[in-house]
Amino acid sequence: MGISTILPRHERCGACNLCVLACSFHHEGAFGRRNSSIEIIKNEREGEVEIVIFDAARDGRRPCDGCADEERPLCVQWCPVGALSVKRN
Amino acid sequence: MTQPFAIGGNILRVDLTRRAVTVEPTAPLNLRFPAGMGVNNWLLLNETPLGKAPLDPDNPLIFTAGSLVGTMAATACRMTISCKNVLTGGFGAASAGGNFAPELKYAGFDHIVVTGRAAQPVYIDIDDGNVTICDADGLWGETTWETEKILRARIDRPTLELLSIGPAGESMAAAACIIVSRTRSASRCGVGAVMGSKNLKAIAVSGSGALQVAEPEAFMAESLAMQRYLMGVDTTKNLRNFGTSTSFEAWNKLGSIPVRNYQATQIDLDEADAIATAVKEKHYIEKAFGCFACPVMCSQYQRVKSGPHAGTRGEKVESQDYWDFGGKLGISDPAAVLALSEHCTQLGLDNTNATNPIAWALECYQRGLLTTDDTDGLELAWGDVEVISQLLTKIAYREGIGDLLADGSLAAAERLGRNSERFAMHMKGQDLAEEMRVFKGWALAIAVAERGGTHTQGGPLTERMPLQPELSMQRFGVPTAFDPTSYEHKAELVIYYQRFHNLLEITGICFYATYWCGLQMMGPDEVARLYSLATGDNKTADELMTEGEKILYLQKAFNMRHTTFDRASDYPPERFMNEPATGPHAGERLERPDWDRLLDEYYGQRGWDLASGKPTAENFRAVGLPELA
Repeated sequence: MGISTILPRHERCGACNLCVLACSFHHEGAFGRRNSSIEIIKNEREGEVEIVIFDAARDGRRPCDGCADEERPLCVQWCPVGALSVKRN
Repeated sequence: MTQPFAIGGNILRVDLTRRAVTVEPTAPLNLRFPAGMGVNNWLLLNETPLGKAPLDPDNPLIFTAGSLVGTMAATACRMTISCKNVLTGGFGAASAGGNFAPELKYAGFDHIVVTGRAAQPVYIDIDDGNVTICDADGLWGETTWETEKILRARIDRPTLELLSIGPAGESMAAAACIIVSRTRSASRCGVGAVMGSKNLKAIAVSGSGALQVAEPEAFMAESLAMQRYLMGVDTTKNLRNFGTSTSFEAWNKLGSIPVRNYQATQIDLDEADAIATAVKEKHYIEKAFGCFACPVMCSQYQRVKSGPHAGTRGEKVESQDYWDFGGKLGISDPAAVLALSEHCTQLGLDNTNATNPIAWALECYQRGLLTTDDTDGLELAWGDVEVISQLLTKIAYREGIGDLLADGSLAAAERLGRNSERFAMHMKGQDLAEEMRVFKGWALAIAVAERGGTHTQGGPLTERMPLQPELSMQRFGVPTAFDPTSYEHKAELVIYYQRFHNLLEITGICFYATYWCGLQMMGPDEVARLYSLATGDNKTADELMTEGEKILYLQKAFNMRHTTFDRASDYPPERFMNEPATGPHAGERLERPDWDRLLDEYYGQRGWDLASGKPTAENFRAVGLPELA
């Protein structure tokens, strides 16, 4: 984890995956889900979402680095419902 | 035309008869046609054999992700599924949101072309380039939700996305749809029946790839600015708060709802108010969800906590569901509409193509053309939720009267006889969703739609917007875009929206973020900017609208090749001509001389043959399709 910690509010998340894509763009300059440090797991039946933020590399994913080179983490910038916020460490 | 960026890059071909999988690059076709709907429609046109019934195994079923899908372009998530239309015998296509299409591109594919018929039920598993045809043991016979649950337990991979058919697709009911991501539906044209005809229960996909765009920083800046702009627009706020269902009451006030099989155009205002209150006061709505890359989030998760439908819960109940169940079938309890919609999703039934034949049956029963001898003993009555639920199940499994209704209202009427065809409300054989009497541009688009009876191929919503002629001129070059009952210039307006809708289907951007829904949202210019920055295929709005026009010609060519559609096929059902609307536009109907003139204008705008309603050889050459001339 870098200088920032991303704080998820699962109950707000609308599962649009824009944070996932923003994160993948931050890491690789390209859009995908498996190269992102975020995974959105949605339970369609119960209307629930879990925002998983990887703080360690796993299955080819890079860990969240808090977008150290950005003014604000891209996932926070892009989330349309305020489900992600940042805590500076 | 090439799309060097934001593209999966390959076409996956699966021949289920031979259990053979091949992969070829998208690029050669993409030189001539835009990815997404363009390549899709070209493949469908060229690879559908002549003289085969829609459910013949030789026909292709083509799954396609839009050209911007997988990027961060707002709402670019949509998939088009095309095939020979089970109801019309002509061009067929259905569209769905959700997460499947972007995952397909991350796996490296823009299209899946499925042909043949598996000897036993199967599903296709796409794990990047590793594609396996797997036996569907334990899946056949299951609902779409159960199928997804079983497959998720069976396939342990991250970012797995699924689509499937339910019992309706297995029994090849024309009303069968394909359910995507458990909550989204690719409906109309019998796409689920075609999937069933191939013994194909489901497709699973997961991809580890990522999409590059042509101008990354500029694309990100443009996309973020567009997202933030969209979120400030009232239409977006309304969609996110309530979904599309609030329009039901507004449309009812305008007298534009199909009521009791189109016998009227307005339901009781108090009943409509009760539905609107349930939506606006969020009696059932708990939370808004978005499809992939969608900041609009029109999909409302709803839960019924008490009463006879307690326990009902799920997503994506639309205004159209209230037309289908609330209007056409006379069900005024919104909880019942939610329950029946959920029932359809599990059975893999397209709500519209399932409810329209039921509405036909209810009217036939009302008029004594059907009796309990024909209905497995069921007494058919408007608004009877239990009976309607049973009829939906019977359609899905082709049980008893369900077998009569499973092929659509026209086929049912032809089988029944008894002069019941006049109550079969369809265009070109496909069941209608829409009331057509009041709004003339809306009616024209639905009547001439190549896939048969749909407002999603050019149906303008401007006729319901309280705007001024000056803005109409500025945006559309005609003064009447906002005039509900005028026939004047509606041909031009429909042609504009036909091109625009096809442009959106090229990109995979959702209609609900665009000019179609609200004139403050994305128009051709905004879409063209995103398209050019992402794909590297620099196109102006006019150029993309021209590509949209070319796609219409591909669909027209398909219908000219496979059907006998002509000018007569573009006339609405007699009921809309003979029986007037109710409500504020009481007395309004589609007059035949007006319709004659409107069709002349529509064909004439494009230089088509007025007698047949078909393009000429010169028309095909002019849009860059000389081989179709």
